[in-house]
Amino acid sequence: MTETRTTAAHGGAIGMHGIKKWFGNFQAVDDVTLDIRSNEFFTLLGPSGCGKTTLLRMIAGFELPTEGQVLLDGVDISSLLPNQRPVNTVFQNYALFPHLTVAENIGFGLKMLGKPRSEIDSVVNDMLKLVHLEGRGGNPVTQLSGGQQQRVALARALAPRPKVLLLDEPLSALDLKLRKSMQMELKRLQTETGITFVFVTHDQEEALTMSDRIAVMSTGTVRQVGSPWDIYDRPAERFVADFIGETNFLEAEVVAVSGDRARVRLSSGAEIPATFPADVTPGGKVTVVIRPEHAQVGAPSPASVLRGIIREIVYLGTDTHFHIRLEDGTTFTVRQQNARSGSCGFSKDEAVGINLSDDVAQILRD
Amino acid sequence: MFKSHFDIRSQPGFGFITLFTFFALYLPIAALVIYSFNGAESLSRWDGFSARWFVAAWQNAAVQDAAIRSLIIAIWAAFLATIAATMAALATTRTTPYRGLTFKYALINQPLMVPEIVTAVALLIVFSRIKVWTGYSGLGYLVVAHTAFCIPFAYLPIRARLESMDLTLERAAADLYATRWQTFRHVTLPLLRPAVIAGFMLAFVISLDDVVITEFVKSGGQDTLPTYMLGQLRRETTPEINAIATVFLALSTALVVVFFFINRKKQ
Repeated sequence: MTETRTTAAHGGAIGMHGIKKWFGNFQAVDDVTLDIRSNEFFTLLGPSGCGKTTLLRMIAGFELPTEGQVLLDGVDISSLLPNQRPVNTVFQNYALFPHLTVAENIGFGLKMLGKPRSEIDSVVNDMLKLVHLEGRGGNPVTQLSGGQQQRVALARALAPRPKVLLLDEPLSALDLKLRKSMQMELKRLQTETGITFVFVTHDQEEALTMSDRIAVMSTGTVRQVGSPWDIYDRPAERFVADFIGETNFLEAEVVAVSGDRARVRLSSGAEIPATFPADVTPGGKVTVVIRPEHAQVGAPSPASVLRGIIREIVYLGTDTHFHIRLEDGTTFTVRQQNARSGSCGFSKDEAVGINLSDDVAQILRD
Repeated sequence: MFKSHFDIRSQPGFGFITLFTFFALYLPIAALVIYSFNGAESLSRWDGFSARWFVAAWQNAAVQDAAIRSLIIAIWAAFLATIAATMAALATTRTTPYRGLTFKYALINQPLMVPEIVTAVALLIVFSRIKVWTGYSGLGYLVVAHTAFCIPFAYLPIRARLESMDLTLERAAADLYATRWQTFRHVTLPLLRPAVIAGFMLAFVISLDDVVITEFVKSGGQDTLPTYMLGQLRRETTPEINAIATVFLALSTALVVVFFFINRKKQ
């Protein structure tokens, strides 16, 4: 295992099978099965307390599952100690060793593995270059800024060339601008090193920006796994649709089903096509999701899919949000990109019609 | 800064109590130090400034003998107590709280709570039996006895430091392939060092100072400096014991100052 740990040419694949975790009477993880592929940037996304960090700690070895198995490249590692797993962690508060220099921090893992001095020195130099901290090796870590400490923590975790890198909300302590640039940086590092990244966050935008695939979690269970596109445009259930981005929920009735498309009738009487994640039957009551940017405001006409009255117009620079009260009383939000003309052309309390782009409705699983 | 009406310093009598406490604490010590430079043969009659009693104490073979014995016992006892205290502190902080943990704290701190004279008599009985069985009557008994009552003093600063230490550092070390021993050696111990030194010094001073247990446990010819001084009281006393006490005071003050500066450099 020592050999593959240091010469890993590919990231490891993680399998989590039937994982359950109890803390006393509290169930933090409830029967999670996940397969994280080799070389992918995988994100565990969910609100605090959803069990995402607990899952991460079980991959690292800081927690043992009450039930279930953790596999690395098909081998059961559930009962191995953290130091026996070729997996490294970037901690939320960095957890740099305050009594060691930048270089000593980065070289710590290799030193513990008993690597020769010369190898450690050369890897540490490479790592300092990789995270743009050349010449800072001799500095005490306590004198670095938050962003620099963050990069030392990354370099320290990458230096032993783990098969999997675990990142526990590592960007939450940084300010917005630094966070944006670190997001690009992380994505670059993942592509360059070919190491599998497992990233934990509660920030949906962060997850959409960086991930190859996302698992959305809530109350200890995985609600949906998919690409950012899947998660955003094909949410399987209400929680996922609601947690990721802004959404309109509409009650509808299924009229017809053919292949992977259904026709649904909205409360306005209009019929639109919709995609669906599970079996639906004609006549059934369903909830459909339509993203605000997939609808347009226009003059009311019989051809409008929905009709209502503008309650609020919110100018947001790049675009404008229209909060519209539909005829059936529900509120519908439309996001329209701004031109430079100045006025959006509509005013508060105006009666308007709403049109939809083609094929934008998604039926939710109950 | 706005000075509150409820500030303790504006309460009536504050100045008087402060002065009284200050004198009560330091007047006797000041008198001791001044009289250690007394040129007279008597403890109480002042007869001009002189360092003759320091010289006399220094040249007194019995004092030398007792001083060396005191140092040997104190170094060994502090060393052993610090090791035991560090292990005890790790065992009581690096665990999830369980029933009986409070009882263990009490057990470790037992020497602070049981009257010293009780321990002294108990040790006298036990050690005299062991002496009969083994025939050994060296300094070992004193070292063991001192180690036992030094442990809580070494334990307190070490436990306090461990409790305030960030556990994720040790977790990070384990994540970076450190075994439990490597984690202790490369992360826990270096971060714990100031507390370990503090614990050692505290134990050292406590051992150096002990009279009651030493008096009961020691064999003939095993006087430490404090028991030697006690013995001198029965005979004609000279300012020599003032001089010895002043050296004691200087030594413990020096230890505290050194420790203070070591700690300040760390931060």
